[in-house]
Amino acid sequence: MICLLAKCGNDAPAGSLPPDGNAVSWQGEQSITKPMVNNKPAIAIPGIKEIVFTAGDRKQKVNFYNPKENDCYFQMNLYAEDKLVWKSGNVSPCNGYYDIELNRVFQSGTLQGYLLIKCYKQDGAELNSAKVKFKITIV
Amino acid sequence: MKKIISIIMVVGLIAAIGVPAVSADSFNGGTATITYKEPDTYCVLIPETIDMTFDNYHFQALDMNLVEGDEVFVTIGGLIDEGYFPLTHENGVDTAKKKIYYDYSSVSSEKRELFPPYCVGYFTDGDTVSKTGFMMINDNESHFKAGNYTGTAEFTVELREKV
Repeated sequence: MICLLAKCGNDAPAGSLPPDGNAVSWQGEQSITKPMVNNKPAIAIPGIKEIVFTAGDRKQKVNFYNPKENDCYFQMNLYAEDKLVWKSGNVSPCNGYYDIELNRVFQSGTLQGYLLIKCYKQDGAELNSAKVKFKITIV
Repeated sequence: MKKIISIIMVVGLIAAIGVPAVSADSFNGGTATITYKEPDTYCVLIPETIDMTFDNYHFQALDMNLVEGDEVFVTIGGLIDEGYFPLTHENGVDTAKKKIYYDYSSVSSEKRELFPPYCVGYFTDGDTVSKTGFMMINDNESHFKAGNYTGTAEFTVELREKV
């Protein structure tokens, strides 16, 4: 009976399985491979189609962030009708903003806006920047 | 006595659960239409810097989930002398400029007419590589000091809705 049960189980008991010598001691997740295009380092820029603000309030909800794939700081500058209404400090990858406070309030309506993202290496060297255009709807 | 009270409570509880909020006589049935619109999401990769070796550069996207008909355009700013990109030598003194050549070969002439000026990247839904690209070309008369040149550009990324 014991022999029969043994044959029905795994071919080899766990105790006799050899460990994979290629596996390494786990130290937590390694950094994500940095984005490259045509073998040149690249910066991930999140697109924005529209943001909605509350009329008459300086405090607003947004989703502004520096993607985890990046290896640079973001300095974000929000413009409405070409006027600066908010700016960030140096934002590391994986960080961003859900709540911001504008330097003015808006009345209901629609505005043209853009987020100017200035990118810098950690040593301060300036990289290419991006201007993400979108519509601002104020309700 | 306790047993009787318990029975009465259980019967009462069952009766309360069993009564429907809307009686069968007053319920007319019907259907509800739930509309949900998934918004556009996209994430474009721009180069960290520009150098002289940009040849047939096509932009890539980490994500390009657009409503059908919507389009994403990438344009390049900071050009001088009507279409030249300024570069600085690694010595920090000498400068150079290279003409930007736009590769629109994979789009129709009708579509090209709708492109914004200095368009270097064009995506539609699901594209992970832009349909257009650009490269840096030398003028015949251009002669620059040997060495590495780099420069920075401002790329404008814009989603245009289907008209």
